Amino acid sequence: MAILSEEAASGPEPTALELGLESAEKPRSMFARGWEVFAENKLALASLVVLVLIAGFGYLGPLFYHGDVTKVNLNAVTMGPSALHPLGTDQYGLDFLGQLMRGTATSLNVGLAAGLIAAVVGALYGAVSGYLGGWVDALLMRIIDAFLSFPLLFLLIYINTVFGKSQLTMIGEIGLISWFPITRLVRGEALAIKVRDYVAAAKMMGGKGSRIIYRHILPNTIGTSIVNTTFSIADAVFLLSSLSFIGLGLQAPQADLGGLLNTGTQYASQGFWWLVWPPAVVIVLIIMSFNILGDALRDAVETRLQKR
Amino acid sequence: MTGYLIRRILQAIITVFIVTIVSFGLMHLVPTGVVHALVGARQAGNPQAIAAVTHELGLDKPLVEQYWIWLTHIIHGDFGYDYTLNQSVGSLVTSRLGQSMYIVALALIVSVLIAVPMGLVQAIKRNTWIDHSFTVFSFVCYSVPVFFFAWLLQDIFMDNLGWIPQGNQIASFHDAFTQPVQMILPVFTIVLSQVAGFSRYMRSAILDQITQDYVRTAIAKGASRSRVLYGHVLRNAMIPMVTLMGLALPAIVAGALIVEYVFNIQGIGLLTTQAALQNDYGITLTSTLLVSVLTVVGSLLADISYAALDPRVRLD
Repeated sequence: MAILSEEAASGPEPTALELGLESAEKPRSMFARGWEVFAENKLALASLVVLVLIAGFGYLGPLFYHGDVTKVNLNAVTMGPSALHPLGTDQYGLDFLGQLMRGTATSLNVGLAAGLIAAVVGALYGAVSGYLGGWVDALLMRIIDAFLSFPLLFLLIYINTVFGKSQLTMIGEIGLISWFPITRLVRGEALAIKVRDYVAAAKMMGGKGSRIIYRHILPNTIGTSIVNTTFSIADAVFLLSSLSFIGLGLQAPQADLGGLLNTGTQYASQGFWWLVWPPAVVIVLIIMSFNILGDALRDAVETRLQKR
Repeated sequence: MTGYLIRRILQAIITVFIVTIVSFGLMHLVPTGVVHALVGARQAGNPQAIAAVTHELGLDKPLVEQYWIWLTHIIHGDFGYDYTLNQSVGSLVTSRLGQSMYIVALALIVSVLIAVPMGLVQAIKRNTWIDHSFTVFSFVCYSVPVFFFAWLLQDIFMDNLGWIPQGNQIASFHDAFTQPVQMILPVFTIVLSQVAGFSRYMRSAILDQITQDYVRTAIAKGASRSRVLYGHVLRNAMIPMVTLMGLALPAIVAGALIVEYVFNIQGIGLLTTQAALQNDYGITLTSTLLVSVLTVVGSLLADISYAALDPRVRLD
């Protein structure tokens, strides 16, 4: 108590700002400056809102809405939208709004997780390849070329028959085949960063390669990585739904949006539009929003467009 | 030119080599063992088939030697025997290649034929409502999954309007040629998903070229607007399009798989899908390998024609 009052009596120390050691304006972080550019893009803000709404629909929806998605009810098959079933029922009499919520969550789970795996693996591989350079880099990049020339859907179908179909294996499978484009971009930046003076200084002070990659190259390529994560999420959602649509991905009862469409389109010719359009619209919105978001983020991390 | 060609061809050979190594590795991923992968799920209990495959491919030898034996086999077009369908995998897969390649080629050509004028109009009328509406159209097309386009076109033009007869299936390369009407929807499905990327490129390439010095020179020398546009700008903007076509190949091939499924075309994509449904690894892997090699060859051809069209590359 005594110490406290003593301190109060002497008054606060002059801050660095008052002494003129710091500029009056607080330097803003890269993210704050990027956000300014991003926030000017109304389309990007709108797609962010759409994504938040879709995520809320998929993850929080089932907490508030309890449609029966498990008990087969043959008295209520393929009923149109009604007060009881806002999006009607499917061929087993299961509530479709409830299924749509689960499908949305599944698509988002796989898309987000696989996109993240792709980003991490791709950035690491690209940073190492670019940093090492020389023949190692040449070899590592030829491997990427080879993978980029695989039509991914064929590759995915094969891996899928080998490893099986569950949400978890789909995440791994899609993650493992989607990291090639990110690698190229990060490697290009790593090539430019490793010749900078601060990297030379770090090396001179005895910094090991792993430290330089982890502390200098990866943080400086974070912008590119974030931008491309959004694109790879969109691609992962697309790949999973394509696979499920042709009957090789996730099917009921753990269907993603593509799996729902697979069933829906088989019944659409009988006029059951509610089994097709809702999942289709959600897929398109997810893919489109992530793509718009990626475009806007690309502008946001572009330092030339930022205000200092 | 020769130096560039040799380098590019070498690069393609290395890529194909890596593709085969990856395929060989994938073959060994099958949890029940590589023999199982090769004889197919339903014949896994057939000791005769297993013994034949083991002996023929030297599966009791070291891995490197196995790879070499396998590689010699596939170079000679021997992809093994499918005991389920009682047919050699090679003949099964190649009999499906023609119609798939036909779809891919047609889709590629039609996409470019639509995208070039579209991008040109957008560039000339930039920032007008025409430009903006094409941009919105492109973005929507880019975001709609190709399988939904396929279903939508089928639903509208086959099931509802009846403009295209239902139930005719394309079972061979011959059918693909003799029933052009049946090819319209599959090809346009892929075109819709590809035209966005191509036209966006075209628009920015033309806007890029218009600011170049040679355009100012041509105008100063009194060339007419259309001569500058079609004689100079369009030609220069279109050359890199060839490379873009090569880059788009994997996506178009994947699109072909989807349309073959929806429109019931007996191509390599549908074969792969059906084989995968029955866990027939041999066919799935062989078609993946073949399609990838063809994609590499396609990109190589694109790059070679790019070099032939653009003298600057040759000097490199």
